[in-house]
Amino acid sequence: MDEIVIKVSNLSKRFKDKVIFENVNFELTKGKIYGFTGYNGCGKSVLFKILSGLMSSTDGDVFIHNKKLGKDIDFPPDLGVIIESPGFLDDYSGYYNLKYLASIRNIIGEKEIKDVLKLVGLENDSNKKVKKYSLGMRQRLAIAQAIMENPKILILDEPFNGLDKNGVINIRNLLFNLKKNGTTILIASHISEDIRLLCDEVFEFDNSTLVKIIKR
Amino acid sequence: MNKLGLLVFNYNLRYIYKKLIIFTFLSLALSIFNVVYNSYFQNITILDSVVLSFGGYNIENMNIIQTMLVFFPYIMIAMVIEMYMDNMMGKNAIFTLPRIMNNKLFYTSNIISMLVVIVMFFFIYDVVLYGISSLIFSGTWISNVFYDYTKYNKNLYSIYRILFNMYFAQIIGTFTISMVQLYITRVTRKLYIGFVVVFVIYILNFSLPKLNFYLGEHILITKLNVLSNNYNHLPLYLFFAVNIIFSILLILLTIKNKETIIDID
Repeated sequence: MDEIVIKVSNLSKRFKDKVIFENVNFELTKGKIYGFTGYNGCGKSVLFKILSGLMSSTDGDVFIHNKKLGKDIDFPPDLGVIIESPGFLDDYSGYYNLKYLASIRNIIGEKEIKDVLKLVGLENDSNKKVKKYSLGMRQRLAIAQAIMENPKILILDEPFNGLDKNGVINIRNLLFNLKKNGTTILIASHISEDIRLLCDEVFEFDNSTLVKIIKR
Repeated sequence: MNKLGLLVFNYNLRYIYKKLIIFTFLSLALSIFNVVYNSYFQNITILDSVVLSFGGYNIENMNIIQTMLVFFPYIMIAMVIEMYMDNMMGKNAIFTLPRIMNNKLFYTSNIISMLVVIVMFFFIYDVVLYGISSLIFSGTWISNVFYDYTKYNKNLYSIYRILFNMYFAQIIGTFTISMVQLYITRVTRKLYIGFVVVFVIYILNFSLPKLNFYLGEHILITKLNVLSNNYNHLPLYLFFAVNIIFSILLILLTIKNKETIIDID
């Protein structure tokens, strides 16, 4: 039986009177890629923030490895995340941004940071200040920070934003490799091709609820 | 704060320090203009010039330029805090918070970073203001050009007492106002609302100079009785007490809020 990594039970989120979603239920297992689709503003980013521990739900529960988020744990351990436009220290290089972030967990060193920069194709621009990066380069850097510590759960909101064709192919291959290594990956994307090629299961937001639409 | 807290604190300051320098220089340019403007008045002393820049003058007698000059540094620091919150407690927090995995530590390090920003901003501003004033004016006492209501004690101890009291009132007052700004931004999930509230608090202090609001009173130090030689420090101590209690309450409310990041609509 597949190991359940994330279990969501009757999850609802409202902002004052505005219902974002209601009674959302799903289970995500280890080593699979899950797609989340829906129109802009349907609640994908809100759902990802709740799963990351960055926002609380109005009702319902989230369990990460059987531990209740907000009760047993405040944040999922071993999480890599990109949600919305990435915020970096613009006056520092891509390398230093990763170095500062890596120093918080202190589980990887200089070599791993350089390796991940190479993996996302930023090895030649790693010493350039982030404010001089294009949108695509910022997105690659965001992906690098999300994957650099080999997370067990990877939450990616529109990870292909601003990437050129080669960049998209590189990142897709990267995600397939992470999946092989047992990482559970959640992707929100408005590009149906990304979702179709990458995901084992797809959920779609429809009228404030989440519907599973594909199972391979 | 433990090692992790220091790391986050270090990371936070790396974001803000360049912006802080830009805003401090903007304020310094204003303070130079302030001193040059004051030099129009005859027979004023160094301390007159410095105290005037902190609203140490009856508001009824201040002209619009003097009022703006008093107001400006506080608006500058409110803008710096606004930028700080948007980035380090919003967008950038999505990268840092899941690594720190401790909401209290995250907010503590951010609040300490904000305090450091305020302390540095006013330290540089005050020192340079005093320095430039001492190049143009002479005398380290309060003259009767602006302060005819004050029988000021001319000894050196009192000068430093005034400067220190003013500085601490500025720090504690501005920090409390920043906590108000932070709390409102968190609750409303909108930028600029906290900033507008801060602006209104300062305007109210200017508009009603006889009323004690405690909140934001540091903008007009005449309200705090720091110029008096009668050693009646009650207004100052009350200001400190109210602001410290209010800050602690706001920090507790901020940390206990269920939401972790400042999620702006």
